[in-house]
Order: sequence, then structure tokens, then C-alpha cells
Amino acid sequence: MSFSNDVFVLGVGMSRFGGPAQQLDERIIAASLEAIEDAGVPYADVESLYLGTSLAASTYGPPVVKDLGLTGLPVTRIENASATGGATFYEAVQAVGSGRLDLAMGIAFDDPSTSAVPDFNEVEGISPVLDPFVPPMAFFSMWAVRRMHEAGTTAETLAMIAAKNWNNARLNPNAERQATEEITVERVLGSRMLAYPHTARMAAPQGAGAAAVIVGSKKALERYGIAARVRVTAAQAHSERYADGHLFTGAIIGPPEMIERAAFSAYEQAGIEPTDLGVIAFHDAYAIEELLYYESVGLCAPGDGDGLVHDGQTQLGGRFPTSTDGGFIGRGHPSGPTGLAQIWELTHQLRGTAGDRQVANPRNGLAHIVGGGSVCYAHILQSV
Amino acid sequence: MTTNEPAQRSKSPAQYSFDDHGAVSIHGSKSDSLGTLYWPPRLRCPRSGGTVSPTLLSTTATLYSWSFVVMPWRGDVAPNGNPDGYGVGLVDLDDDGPRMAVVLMGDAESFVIGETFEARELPFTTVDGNPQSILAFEPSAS
Repeated sequence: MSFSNDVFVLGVGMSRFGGPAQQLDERIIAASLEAIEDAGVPYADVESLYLGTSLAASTYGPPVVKDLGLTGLPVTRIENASATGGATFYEAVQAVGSGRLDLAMGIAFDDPSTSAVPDFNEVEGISPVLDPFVPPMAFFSMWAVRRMHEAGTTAETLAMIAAKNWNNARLNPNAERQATEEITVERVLGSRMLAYPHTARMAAPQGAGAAAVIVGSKKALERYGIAARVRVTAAQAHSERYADGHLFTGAIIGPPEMIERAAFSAYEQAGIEPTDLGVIAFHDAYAIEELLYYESVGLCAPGDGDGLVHDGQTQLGGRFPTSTDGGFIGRGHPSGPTGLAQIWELTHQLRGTAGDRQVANPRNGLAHIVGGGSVCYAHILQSV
Repeated sequence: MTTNEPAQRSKSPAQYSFDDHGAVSIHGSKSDSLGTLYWPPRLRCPRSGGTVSPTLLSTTATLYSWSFVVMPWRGDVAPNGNPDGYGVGLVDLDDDGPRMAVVLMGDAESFVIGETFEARELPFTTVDGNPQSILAFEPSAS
């Protein structure tokens, strides 16, 4: 699917994930006001608002954003598990890209400590899809063990990915994990084992958070006298197709084919190749994911991801800087807002405003996120 | 435990069951048009959208991958009662059966990718005096 109208990121905002105790309402309003100020457009002119949350009670959200102004605009809640933020951005982008609107806003948020969503297995009449004895981390760990069996990947490689993301997070004031000193591979390997081979430092924390984005058309840029700096060149939403070894229970992130299909359809829409990417955001809830996704999205050939890590090519100064804000492992993964945090980071990187973690002149950025069930979103942002 | 009654496992439909002697039945679906086997049972064939029929699946399998969970999820008890953790695995059921995510019995050293595993009943607790069991797999050699 291509856009009828060009879509630009006008403004982004984000509250620090995790961190000191803070009401979710306050986080939402702070992130939203930052995005509004960053965009330089009046909230009253926003034509549609998409609220992303995967954990909040059904009526939570619209009452909170009343504090931004009772403008009468359409407000729609979006939910797609871990990919909720990606879905929220996707809907806002489609609204503008289709030519239907000139100004749309996405706000996403969650506080896992106050989740209102019951466990699947506790709902009468719904078949359990997640066995409590095979928790999400077990699935990713089984990916890792299979990878070790097939390609000789070691726990050290997974620890190198995690250490990179921890240390990138040290440069991001909005990251949940703020280590006071450099995190070494040894410290990652020495942390508490969760499910072999993943240790606690190879897994994402889940503090509360909120993030917001405003997208607009070329007409909106002209109306408000805004210079275009970041354009959305691709927005792709995908779900599973049947594959050998298909799983129908568990924390299903989907077969590799879906991961790959989402990325490559985005490249096609944007008219770029994987080698054109200068900054990449992944769903690195567990370290094995980032390693496998290097290959799925075409940063290297299948089986070559380990070499990419050991050669430093995914570090801030490498050929393909990934998880530059710390990723899920360092920045955190509240659930709902995580996808918009990816957009926040790519936007700053493409503007050249990412501070100490700025990579050198990125032209294209990929935000790639999956959600249990399973779904996958891929967005490409381009500096202009 | 009552013969051929589904395992007492939190309101689930019959995904597996045990008889009085602990023999395991794994309940799945077979696509009427494609013959593809699914677990757990489906309402329709996910590949064709067509009808499915109930079927019993093989109780032997090949280990595709495994892990050893040290920290039970959300404070749940470990199914084997071992505070050091328990095994989990992805197993491919024989006779072109589907892949399942299951609990594995045994030590991590006994989990070898490509080896044959067999379905077992694993009692793990009682609720109001009623035994609660789950489906697990263990290495065939043990």
C-alpha cells in the first residue's frame, strides 16, 4: 500500500519509562504536551487522536486526554499487544497518508504494575493460549537454544547485544535502565538466570511509560510554516501466514516469514534497500530477538548475525546502529507506548538531535515491532 | 482421575486427557481438505478456512528446542516442584503432527535436540483435594 499524500512527523514526546513513581495520567499529559510543543501546532487543530494501550481498563484514556482540550475530535483506542505503539502510529499515518486528514496524533501509554487485563487462562469460556508453565521468556529462550544448535551462537553473543543496549540506554535520559557504569558482557552473563540462556540483564524491564507523536501532511506543513525534517516513507502492518512448525499457543511472535515480510514490504514501499538504513529500532524484549532480526530484515545474510555483533557493526558507530536508545532491554517496554518510543528515537536520530547517542548522518530509519498473537509493524522514516 | 475426562486444567477444552493408568491422549484437529494436523483443536482449518475433524495426535515426538526455566512465571509454582527450575521444550509430534510447547521432565542434560520424547502425565499439585495434572514430555530412554 502506498500513500496518496506525503506524511511527515511533526512532533514527538515521551516521558521517561520506569523511573520514579509517577501517575500514568501525568506521564500521558507530559508526553503529549511535549509532542504538541515539538510540532508547533495547536492541539485544537488535531483532527483525529489514536490512543494506544494494551493494559489499561476499557474506559481509561479518553478521560485523561480531556486535559489537552475538549475539542470534539474523534478519539479511538488501539490495542495490539507489544506492537500497540506501532499500531497507533500506523493508524495516524494512514489517516494522513490516505488524504483523509491533514493532522493526526497518536498517544500511547501503559503501566504494567496496574494492568487491568486478566490473564488469558483466568477468563471463563476462552481457551487458554498461554500455558503458565511455558512463559514468554521460555519461548524466546527456546529460539536461542535452537539458534545455538544450528549456528553455534554462544551466550556471549547474546550478552554482547544486551550490553550494547544497556550502554546505549545510559545515553538516553528517557530510558528505564540508567546504569551508573558501563555494563560489561561479564555482568550480563553473571546476572540471575531466567530461562537458559537468557539472564535477567538480557531481558526487557517493564516500567510505566507514555509517548506521543503528531503527523501531518504537506498541506499542514505549509499551513503552520513548518520545515519538513522527517518523512514517513513506509507503513506496513502484517500478521501470520501458516508455516511448518506453526505454534497456536504461547507468547507467539510469529514465524520468521512474517518478520521478514513486514520489513521487505516496507523497503519496497519506501524504495530503499536494507543497506540504506542508518538507524534501526527492534523488538528486543530478549537478546535473541535482536540477533535473529538482523538477518530477518536483511542487515546480513542468514547465519551472519553473530559476525555483525562481534564486528561491532550494530554499535552506535557501526554500519547498522540498532536499539540506539537502549531498545527494549535498556529503554524499557511498558507495552503500549514502546512502539511510539521507537518513533521518538528515530525522529531525533534523523533530525540530528539525539545528543550523545547520535549516529552519523542517518538518512533512513526502520522501526520494526512485533506483537503477540501475532502481528508485525514496520515503518520507515527518512530525513528530508 | 476419571477415565477419558479432560485434565482439570483451568477451564480449558479437551486439549489432552489421561486415563486411570496415566496414559495420555492429545486432542487435536485435522483439516478435512488438506489433512494438516493442529494442536490445540481448532474450530476451522487455519490454512484453508475449511472444516476440521477431531483427531487424536501422536504421543511421541522429536525435540526441536528446549530451555530450563529458573524463574516461574508470575510466581507460579514449578510443575515439578523443583525450586531449581524445570524444563520446557518445543516438540514436533510424530506422524506429521504439529509442534507443541510443553513442559519437559528430566534434567537439562537429558534434553538433546533431535531425540525422541514421549508424552506423560505430570501431577503437580492438588486443589481442594483434587489432583491436578499437566501434559509433559520426557526422553524416551528414561
